[in-house]
Amino acid sequence: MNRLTMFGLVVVAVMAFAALFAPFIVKHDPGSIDLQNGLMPPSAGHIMGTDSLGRDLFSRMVFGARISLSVGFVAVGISVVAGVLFGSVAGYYGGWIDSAISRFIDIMLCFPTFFLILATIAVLGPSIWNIMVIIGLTSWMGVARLIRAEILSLKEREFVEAARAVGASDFRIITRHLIPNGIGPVLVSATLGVAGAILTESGLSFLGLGVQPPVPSWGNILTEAKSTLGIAWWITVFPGLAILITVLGYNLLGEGLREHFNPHRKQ
Amino acid sequence: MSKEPLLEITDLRLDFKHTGSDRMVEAVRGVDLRVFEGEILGLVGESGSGKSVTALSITGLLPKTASVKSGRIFFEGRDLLALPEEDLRKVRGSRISYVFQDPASSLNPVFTIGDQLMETVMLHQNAGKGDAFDIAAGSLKDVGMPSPKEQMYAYPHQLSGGMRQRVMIAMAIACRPKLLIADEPTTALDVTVQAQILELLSELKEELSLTVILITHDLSIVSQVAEKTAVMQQGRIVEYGDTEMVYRKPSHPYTKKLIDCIPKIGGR
Repeated sequence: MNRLTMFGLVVVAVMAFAALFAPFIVKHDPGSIDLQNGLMPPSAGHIMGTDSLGRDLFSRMVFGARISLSVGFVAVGISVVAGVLFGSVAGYYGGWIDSAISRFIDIMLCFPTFFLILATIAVLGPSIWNIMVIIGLTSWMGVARLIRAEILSLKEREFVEAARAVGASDFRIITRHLIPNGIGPVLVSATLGVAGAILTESGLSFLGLGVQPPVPSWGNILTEAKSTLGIAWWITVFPGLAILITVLGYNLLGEGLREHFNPHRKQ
Repeated sequence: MSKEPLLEITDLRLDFKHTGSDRMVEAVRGVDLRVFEGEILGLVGESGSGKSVTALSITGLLPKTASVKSGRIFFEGRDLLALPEEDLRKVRGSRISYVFQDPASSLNPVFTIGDQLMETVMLHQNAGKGDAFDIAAGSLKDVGMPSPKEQMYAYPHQLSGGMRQRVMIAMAIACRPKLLIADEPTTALDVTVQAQILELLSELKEELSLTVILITHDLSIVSQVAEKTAVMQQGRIVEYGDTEMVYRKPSHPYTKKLIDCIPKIGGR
């Protein structure tokens, strides 16, 4: 494992830790308003300062990590499940089933994803669950193509024929023999996908269509920060840095995993 | 011999769809074959003579491009070609099982051999995990694996070629099938291991009263273990009989050629 992958792993682990144990880490309630102490710069009491309503920014960041990361994970979970399902069926059965699914993937890829998400949220209303589901359902196509390609080559291998010769059903062959062998690239793409989903969520929240205040997410902290940008730099810088570092961490970890699964890597 | 054959193939014809066109290629052109209980039948022929597809068609494992044009395959009183896929799947692995050519690629690289053996057992028998483990380990013992219980946890890449082929055979006999179809089981192995595997097949035949169809392109292998020999050429069986007779007095010119191909030390 090289240093960059290690860095990615550490970032991911720290953020996950912060999200999991959020209530034990922070000293202040992320929602408690203290108007007298609004827009305080970072100090010993509030290590990241306070926002315009006097809420502790560090607490909001930590609880925001919870929201942002869970959006990332659930959305990627949905996209992996959908992608593996469609991709493996297309790759294994081939023929018209493959054509139908592949064309459907092509069509889905034609939509500008962000605007599709915006339109859907405009109709369904912004809630954290809607955002998770919609990000998931607009990002499974890459996974589907990956797993389809893997299965196309794996299904010609002899152990598949051997499995069939001992009486395994199609379902068993796909789930037990093909998917476990082809899941490597999907794990890589899922790791990168978490980063993408976090970015998408931040973008949506920034536009006011994501997670709704007062629930903190990195994106909507940024939105609130833009009105006070000139006088309170910390409210913009810390969530911005958090998004940057987290996305970078997931990307570096993903790259490291890709390297790990690369069959041509030097031992 | 008035005994009923265990497996009887009559007038089997198979077509292959020619890739890129609608032309059909006839790969098997009217094969008749009878296999009697407790014997080893050697099925010999060159590449493309149709011996492997004949074997695969017995339990409906043909590739999608192939189709059965006519024929019947009787096994234990049923015509396998007329059985629905669901019933055929129950036959595969439990009544008729296969051993393929390349043991290196016939095992799933991401699971232990124990997992794979137990999978086969649990597919066909109403066995819990513990029972399946015992049956699988017993099966490894049957094929002469040293310390079978420890080997259950080995991954395929940790075993040698000969050991992997033993695992494949263990998988094939785990559910005590009647008929074992070994498709070039020794081609990928070196000569000493080849002899061990052939010996193992003969032993298992005796111990488990197996019937074996041994498919190979190497007549010398057949002459070592098989009681009966059938020679295939261009989709037909051109010679069939007791191995001794086929070997000594081949009636078909192709068989004579095959026999001449076996190298003899010191010339003839």
